[in-house]
Amino acid sequence: MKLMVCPLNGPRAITEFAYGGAVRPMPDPDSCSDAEWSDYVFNRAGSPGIKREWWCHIASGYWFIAERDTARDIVVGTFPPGARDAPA
Amino acid sequence: MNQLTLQLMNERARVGCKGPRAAEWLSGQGLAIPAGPNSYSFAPDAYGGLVLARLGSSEFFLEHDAAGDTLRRVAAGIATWPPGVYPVLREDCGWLLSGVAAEAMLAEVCSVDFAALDLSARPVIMTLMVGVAVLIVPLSGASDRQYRIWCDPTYGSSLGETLQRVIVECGGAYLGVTA
Repeated sequence: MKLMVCPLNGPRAITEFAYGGAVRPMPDPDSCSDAEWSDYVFNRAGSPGIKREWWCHIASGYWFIAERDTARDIVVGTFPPGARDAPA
Repeated sequence: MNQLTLQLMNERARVGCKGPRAAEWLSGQGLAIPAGPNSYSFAPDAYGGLVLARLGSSEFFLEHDAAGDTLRRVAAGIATWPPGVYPVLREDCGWLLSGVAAEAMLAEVCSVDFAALDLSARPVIMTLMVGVAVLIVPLSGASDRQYRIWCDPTYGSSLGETLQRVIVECGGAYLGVTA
């Protein structure tokens, strides 16, 4: 069974989690260019490597950030959204 | 003693609230607030005890015998919208699972090892049970552990029927509504 450690609920089966997309800073839609906005909306970095992603523990509705190595298919770490070492 | 029993607890009173001042407000009502997230306090009384579960940091779930008046008073207070306290509708379906084989039965329906839990920490477990999100409050019984299982009422019928089937397969008995 593949496990992920929820910062609130502890280690749980991966089936208890839902993926919420990559952590990406959103450009200011009022001031950014159309190219910047379309890049934010449509483009994703698909190359394997360490990714920072939003995940949700379904049973508790708790959102957090996971750092995942998609080349090795392992979870490197998980953080509460406001943690110091979590990405902005 | 029966090895394994399941009882329906839908008649118990339950109340929910959340918000930045919910803990402070509940404490002001004379209730013991669990210090940490995902833990509960238990206040024994003539009605079998009041459970106050802290879900995350600022949400609370309270359940008590419907004959007691504590939750009626708390619910009436929450309905006045104290600053920083917001009501959460709780119409959960509930079951009481007990017996020495309870952990074995739970292992069949969810992926948390309940036998390894340290009940002295009074943990509250939020997990998936046969695919349904549940809130589980483990209590120490006289000779075994008891598990109060709560889920969203829209899944209650489905989860209840499944648990009844599983408990019979595990050699237990479904006792219906709690006496």
